[in-house]
Amino acid sequence: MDWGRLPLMRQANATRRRTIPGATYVAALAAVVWPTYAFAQDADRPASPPAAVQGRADNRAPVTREEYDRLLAEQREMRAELEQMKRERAAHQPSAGNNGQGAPAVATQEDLDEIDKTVRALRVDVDRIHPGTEAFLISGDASIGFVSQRRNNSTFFAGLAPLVLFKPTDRLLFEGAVDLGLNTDQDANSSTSIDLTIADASYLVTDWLAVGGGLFVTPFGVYHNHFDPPWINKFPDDPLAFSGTLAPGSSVGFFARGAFPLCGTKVTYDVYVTNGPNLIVKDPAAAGTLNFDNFSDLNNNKAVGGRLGFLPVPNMELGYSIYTGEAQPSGFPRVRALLQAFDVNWRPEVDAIAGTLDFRAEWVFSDVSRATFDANHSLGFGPVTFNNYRDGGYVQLCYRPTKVNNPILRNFELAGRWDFLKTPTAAPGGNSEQRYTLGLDYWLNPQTVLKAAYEWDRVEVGSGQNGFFIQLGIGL
Amino acid sequence: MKYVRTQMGRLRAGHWVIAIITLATSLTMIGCDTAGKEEGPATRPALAGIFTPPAKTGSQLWAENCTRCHYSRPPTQYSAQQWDVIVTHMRLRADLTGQETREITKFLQGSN
Repeated sequence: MDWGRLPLMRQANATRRRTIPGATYVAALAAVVWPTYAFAQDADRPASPPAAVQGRADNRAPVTREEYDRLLAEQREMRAELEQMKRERAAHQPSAGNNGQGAPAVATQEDLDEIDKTVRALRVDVDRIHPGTEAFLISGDASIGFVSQRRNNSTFFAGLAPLVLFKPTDRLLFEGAVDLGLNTDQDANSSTSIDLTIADASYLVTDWLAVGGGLFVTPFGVYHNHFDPPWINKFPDDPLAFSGTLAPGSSVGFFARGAFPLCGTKVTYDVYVTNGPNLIVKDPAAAGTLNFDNFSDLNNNKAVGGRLGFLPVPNMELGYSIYTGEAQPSGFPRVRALLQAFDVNWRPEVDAIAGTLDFRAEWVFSDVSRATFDANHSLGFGPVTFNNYRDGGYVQLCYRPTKVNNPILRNFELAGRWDFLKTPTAAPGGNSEQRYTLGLDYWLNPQTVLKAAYEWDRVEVGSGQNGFFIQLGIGL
Repeated sequence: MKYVRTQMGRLRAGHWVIAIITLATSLTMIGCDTAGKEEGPATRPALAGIFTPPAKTGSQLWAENCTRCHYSRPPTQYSAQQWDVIVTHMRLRADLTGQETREITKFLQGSN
């Protein structure tokens, strides 16, 4: 028996053999132990012998050097084949333009959406780094036109009202606006008027609240706040109630405003504290009227006001406004002014007439304490005492055939308005006036409109100023 | 009306300031709960049904709110950043909620 070829040695290096001292004793011990060990090994083996030894007659026979070399060669060959397969598989991995089978890939809608989303995000990033345009914008409006009124010379006119917006942070917005206009007085002195109309800062506190201060458009009624830019107003001129003496335009002070949903509807609110109006007491033609351009307060009493709006449906809004404060200048008896206004606007699309209706109405009433003007006749027009109650308003209805197929006809809009202003006839300059205006507008684009209108004017004292207007209103 | 005028005449500016501060504080406290986060039914069960806005897309809100006063300018007229500034301005001018402002801005920026 060759001790160097024991089956145990199949798990070791077959080339290593060693003759140990006392081999005879070891051989005898092995002769006793081996049959037991070999039997136990056979019992643990599966019924089917391993493939490596399946072709051999005796699977317990030791591996020869020749067999070992052959198995080693086969293993190396298989390893090489495996590496080759890995390389080939890596070479055929799906890539742009290929799928796993080597055929051209077809982009799915999801792929396109993903690409589109990425491009838009990149565009936003690029816009964000544009120098000077990050949060600064000049907008506003402009108008040019022509007016011919009875008892006045016809004239062309032009105006520009740039609006500057600056948003330095997500919650802070600064707004500034001026009205630039042309004037010529009775002495033929021409000038350019510059009126600062907005200069305020607003801070967005919550989703439902913003606070701010400065010179802001007074949210009394909605005309000045929403409708007076020439590209929004359907007519070339303002309603009488919002022409200057009855309702405030811009005010200096602080405000809080916002909106919140309520049971599927929406509520809007504005509250503010301002310098308030100043009662005109010395002008023989205007004593008793309120001057709202009280930018540096003439007394320590501030005016407070607010507006509450309700939108039962998205295209309708109902509003109530109130504004009150003391208005007397220094040295004049105490006079309190209380102004209130109701407004409604509704803009339904009506299939039956293939178009859109735009209905707007506001009513303003002003109650100023009874007072005596020029009490000692030092100004030459007094003493004059009267109940200083005034009111005015307008109702307008417009129709645009937005649903007709003809693109030219679709851009026309027919507009009709009735407006009025009543002032005490006992007051200096007091009168009652009402106008009927019929207009035809043509919309060149959503923010550019060419307007033509004729106005019938009726006054209680004197004769009215019927007039014809043409205006091009542009939103910048 | 005469009674209303009389009562209003008795109110001084100080009363109005207190009323304004009270209203602003109340709206701040309520609005803080909803600012910048999604409304959830479990957040405020008692108020969720009352103050939850109708579920509308940005395009719906854009059409409803802008056209109430004027015809809408095309989204391509301004860049994404400019729309952000303009819609913030319109939030103040047209009394939009913060949620409406975000949805409209998102729609306009995604459409330009």
